[in-house]
Amino acid sequence: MRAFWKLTKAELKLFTREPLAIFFVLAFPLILLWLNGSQGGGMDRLLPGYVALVLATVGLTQLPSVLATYRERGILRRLATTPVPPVTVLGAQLVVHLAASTAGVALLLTVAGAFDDVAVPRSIPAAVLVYLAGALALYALGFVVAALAPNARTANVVGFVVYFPMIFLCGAVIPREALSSSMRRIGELLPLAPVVTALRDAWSGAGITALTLAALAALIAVAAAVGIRLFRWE
Amino acid sequence: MATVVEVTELRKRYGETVAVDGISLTVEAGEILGIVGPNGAGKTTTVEIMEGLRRPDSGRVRVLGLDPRRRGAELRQRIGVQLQQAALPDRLKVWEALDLYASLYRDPADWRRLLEDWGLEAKGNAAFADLSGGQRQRLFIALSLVGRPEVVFLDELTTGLDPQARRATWELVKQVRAKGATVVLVTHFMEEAELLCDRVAIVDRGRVVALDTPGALVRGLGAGQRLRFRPLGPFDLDSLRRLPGVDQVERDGDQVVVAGDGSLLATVAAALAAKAVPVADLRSEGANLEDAFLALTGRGQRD
Repeated sequence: MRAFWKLTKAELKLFTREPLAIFFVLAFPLILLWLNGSQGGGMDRLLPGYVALVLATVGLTQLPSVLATYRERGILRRLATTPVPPVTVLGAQLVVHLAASTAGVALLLTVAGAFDDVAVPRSIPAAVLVYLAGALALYALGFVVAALAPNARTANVVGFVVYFPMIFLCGAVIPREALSSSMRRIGELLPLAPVVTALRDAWSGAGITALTLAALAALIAVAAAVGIRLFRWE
Repeated sequence: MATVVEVTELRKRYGETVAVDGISLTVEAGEILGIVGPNGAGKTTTVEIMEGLRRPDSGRVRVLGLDPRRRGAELRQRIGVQLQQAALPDRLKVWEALDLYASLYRDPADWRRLLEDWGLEAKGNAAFADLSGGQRQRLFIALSLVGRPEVVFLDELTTGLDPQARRATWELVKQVRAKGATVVLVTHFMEEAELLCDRVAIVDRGRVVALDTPGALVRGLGAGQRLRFRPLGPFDLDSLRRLPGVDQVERDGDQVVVAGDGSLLATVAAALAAKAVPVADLRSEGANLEDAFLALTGRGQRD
């Protein structure tokens, strides 16, 4: 356990030393909120999307980059010569990325809450649950990217290639209502869609459909299984 | 003496390339065993199998009595590893790295002490990315010792160090051994192996071609002494050829090289003095491990 916390603490410190990561996870969602939220109304549509955006940013642009860089540079290999088991190393990464996402979301909701009472989801337990499930789904997807990419450079590129269409087509950056029907239909097939849908349902208190939950569960199960099977330490 | 590492008939191939082709060797408690050989000889693969990082195709490995593949977690508590190629996150500070690695072991050493021992105290707050090659190397050696290992594997320990740092590192490795640890040292510096190692395994093309003390390996060459000097004036080589114990006399540029047996220096110096031949730069050259290595592998090192 001591190793796990030390690893987590060290990785958290490292995260705070990456200005670019800080910008995209903490500041960028606030800028979007300012741009779109200041036109008045629609916060209940915007916020769940931005929460999904934070999860996608961390899961697809941060996590694959960190893991692939650690693998490429022999950081994981060096750790493999110590008694710390691989699951502890990956567990620490999971916790750190979850902490980074949560910091981004907390900041976003705090700022939004200062202007609008819809910053608070109707069903908080559902929102927390969906948030955690969405985090797992997107981190697992990022883990697959890191596992498939032969090096850090490719991991970065593939991460961004998966990330950009999704955040626009799935209703994360722009609410779905503002998309054309053909864009929406493409967006519905992408893995970020059930995350956005579930978060919106938690916000509105509409209740999350079994289909959305099944899609999330399937995404987590398949991506985690593929990632664990394919990820190499060197 | 107890055997700490035992490797029998180890084989490992990568595709078509045979990296290790039947290596057997043992490392005894408290010794510094050197593994030397040309690049691609299978040295690193062999130690990485001992460390449990690679799985052999066949052969038996026991380190501290443990099978690295089956009891890896237990073994890694008791060994220290300095890899040929490894890194730390760029923005991790030196003290943080030592603090972190110390936390990974059951009974770690005091990392502040290691920071001092390895001359890193002034760099404690420096980020890994800002360290020089030598500083990184010292940090990696310190990290390999932070778990109080019983066996330390050092792969290309002094590569990238300047000569002064290299000598300082040798002293510290001797101290590591003096504190009771066994050291397995992979190197391609013959001087390092000769000065530091109790025994040396010469590995070539995936096989151990010789394993003995550096002295015995050199004596095994059957090569005697060599003298080299620069005569200051005309000089008759034949006058030396007639001396007892002299096998060969040759010119090498403006120098004369005399080969022969052990008492060569006294014989030749006396003869030169008797004839009042003025010479400069008189040096005695014994055969060294490099000569033994070249003789045993039949070629120079491929770099």
